[in-house]
Amino acid sequence: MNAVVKTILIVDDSPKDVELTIAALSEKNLANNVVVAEDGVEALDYLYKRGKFAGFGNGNPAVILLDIKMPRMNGIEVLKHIRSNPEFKFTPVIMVTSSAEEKDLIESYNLGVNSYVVKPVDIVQFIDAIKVLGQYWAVINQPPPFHGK
Amino acid sequence: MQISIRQKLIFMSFIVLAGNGFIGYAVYKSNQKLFESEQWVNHTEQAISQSSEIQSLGKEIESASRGFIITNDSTFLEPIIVSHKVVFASISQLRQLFHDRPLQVKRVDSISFYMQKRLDFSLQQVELRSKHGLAAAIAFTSTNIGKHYSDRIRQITNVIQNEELAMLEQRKQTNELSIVTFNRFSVVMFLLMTMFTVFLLIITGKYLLQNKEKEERASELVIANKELAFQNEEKEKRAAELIIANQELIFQNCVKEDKASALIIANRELAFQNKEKEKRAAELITINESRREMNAYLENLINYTNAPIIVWNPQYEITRFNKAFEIITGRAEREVLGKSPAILFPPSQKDKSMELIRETQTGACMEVVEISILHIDGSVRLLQWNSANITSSDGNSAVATIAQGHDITLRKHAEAEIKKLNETLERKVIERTEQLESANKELEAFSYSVSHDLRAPLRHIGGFVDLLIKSNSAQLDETGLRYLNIISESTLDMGKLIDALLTFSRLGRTELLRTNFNSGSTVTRVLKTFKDELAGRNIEINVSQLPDAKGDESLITQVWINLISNAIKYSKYKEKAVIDISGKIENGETIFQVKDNGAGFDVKYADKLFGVFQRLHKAKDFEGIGIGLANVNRIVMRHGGKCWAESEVDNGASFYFSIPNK
Repeated sequence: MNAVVKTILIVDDSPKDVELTIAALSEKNLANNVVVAEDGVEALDYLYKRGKFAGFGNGNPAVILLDIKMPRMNGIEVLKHIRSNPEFKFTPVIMVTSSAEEKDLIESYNLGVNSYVVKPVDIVQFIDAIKVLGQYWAVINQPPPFHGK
Repeated sequence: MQISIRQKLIFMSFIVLAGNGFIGYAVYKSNQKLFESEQWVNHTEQAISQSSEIQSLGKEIESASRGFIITNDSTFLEPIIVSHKVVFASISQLRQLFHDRPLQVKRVDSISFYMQKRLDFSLQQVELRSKHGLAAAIAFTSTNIGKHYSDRIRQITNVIQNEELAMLEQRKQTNELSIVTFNRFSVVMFLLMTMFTVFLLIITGKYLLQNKEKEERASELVIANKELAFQNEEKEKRAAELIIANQELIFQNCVKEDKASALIIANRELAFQNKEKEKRAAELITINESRREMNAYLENLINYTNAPIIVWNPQYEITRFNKAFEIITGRAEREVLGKSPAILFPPSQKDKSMELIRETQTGACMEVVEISILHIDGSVRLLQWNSANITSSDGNSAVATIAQGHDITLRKHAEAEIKKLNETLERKVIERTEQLESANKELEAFSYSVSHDLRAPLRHIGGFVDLLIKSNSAQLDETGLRYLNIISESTLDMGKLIDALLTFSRLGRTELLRTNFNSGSTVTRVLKTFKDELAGRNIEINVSQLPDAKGDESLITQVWINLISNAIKYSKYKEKAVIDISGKIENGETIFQVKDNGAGFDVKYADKLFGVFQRLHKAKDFEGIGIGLANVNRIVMRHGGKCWAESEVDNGASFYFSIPNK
């Protein structure tokens, strides 16, 4: 296991959802690694270590939990940006969204999302899903080698 | 005859051979006998000579001894000695000769005895002479003992000889008899054989002759056959020629027949045509009659019909103008007669209309044209015209043109109206379609938002209640916990409702993809997804042969899922659930049925069965939202089909849905 702290970037405009997600991750002791971006613009800011996140963090998260429906820039657009940048091309991205629409699924997979999880209404299921995701991507999975700055 | 001859021959040959054999045997035997006779003769001769020799030897001894006696010359002693030896040798020889004749042997022995005695006597004589002198010897000799001995010898010898001769004679006679017999036999046999041989020769001769005859006959027959064969060949050739000739004839006959039938047909044709001509003549007469009637009829017709009719001649002069036309134009017939039709048209269209009229001169009739007619009061009416050229009797030129009109002024107006209305309609339809499409899009966006936006707060409610329970479980009492759990469950319920609504709305919007698919395999797939529900329950599912269906496969699958799920759910309180799935084709549509033996429903409330969120059972008896059948109904109706159901409470239910075969 790396000495580098594995960051989990949560991109979601709903603070309540974010809180629930963090509560779930904390059950797996992963809450410390969480960084929150409230929309697509902030997410990119974090990745490029600019704007709100200038000089902050190491910029390359172990996994990005990406919501779709967000103001300014939505999740699909963020994904497009991420995947077109060679630095972040292999960063694991999981769509975590309440949309089960087929067109969102198709677009996300076309753009190269690693996984797509629909936020269940059932909170128990949601928390379990988050725990599993966090455990897998932030702990078990080996992230791609860090190219960046 | 042949065979018996052969047998006869063989038989004869045998006999001849046998006969010859016998003869040979006889000859042999005869020879043997002769030889025997010879032997015996020899034997007897020998015996006689031998015995004679002995006698003579005896005499020699006698004379020698006498001689000695007389002379006392010792030279007379030598013969005695010599003869002495020789005589006994002779005697033993003679004895041997008679080895098979005991009587003779005895006699020889006697001779031997006496000879010895004589010899002894002679020796005694000699001895006496030599020793005692002549007188003693003569005295001794005078005893005649010696002579006695010699006589005895002589006698016996004679006996022997006679015996011998007698025997020889006897044997000779016997032999002669045998020989004679044999000879006779031979002669007889010889004669017989000769006879047989002659016979044999005769028969053989006959046989050979017969064979010869047969061969001759055979060769005659062969020759005869060859003749016949040759004649047959000739006949066949002749026959083949005849056949060819026949075929020629047949062929020529056929040709003749064809010609004959052709002639017959030609004749028939002529007869037929004659008949036709007669018919035609009769027709012409009737036609002329009819024509006369027709003319009168037409006159009236033209004059009083509703349609305006005009006739003009090749010089474009009006020759007829009927009542209807008078009304349309407001002119009387006599006004227009002899004038050009141009006067009837509105000035602006005059030239064009005349143009059209001139075209009528060519061709027999004109296609329908539209020409306007002017009324003297200024109003214009549009008429549809058709015309026909009346040709002269020789058919070469037109003598007049007749035109009939049909007032279409009103119709034209109506058509214009309709066209305008259609255009408006088209526009309206396009508008409405656009509106619908945008409405649909709005709905979609709406549903999408609903699903996303309604769900989020639900998630939050549920989530934070959960966190509350987790973090504050110490402060919460039983009631508090229960309340919180109820809140949590309710959010889940609401989530399900939202999902159901979304599904329902989507089912109404998605496009139908109609394909022919196999219902049987669809049902099998659906049943597989219910594996878990079916495990551990006593359910019997019977699927009959299902006809193919034409529709949207995924939507119809949803129908099957809902109906089968219901059947499984509502039969869960029965010990053994029986579900029957069947389908049939009737009146151009396919009707499927799902039947269960479950709780059934009260038909009093049947009209609520397919309503949205409507239930006929309590949630605590059977869980569910009441959207399944509503979805089924929506889908089936979109396919142009129908749903209905039959049931009896606690006695199961049957659900039907139909899909048109299109």
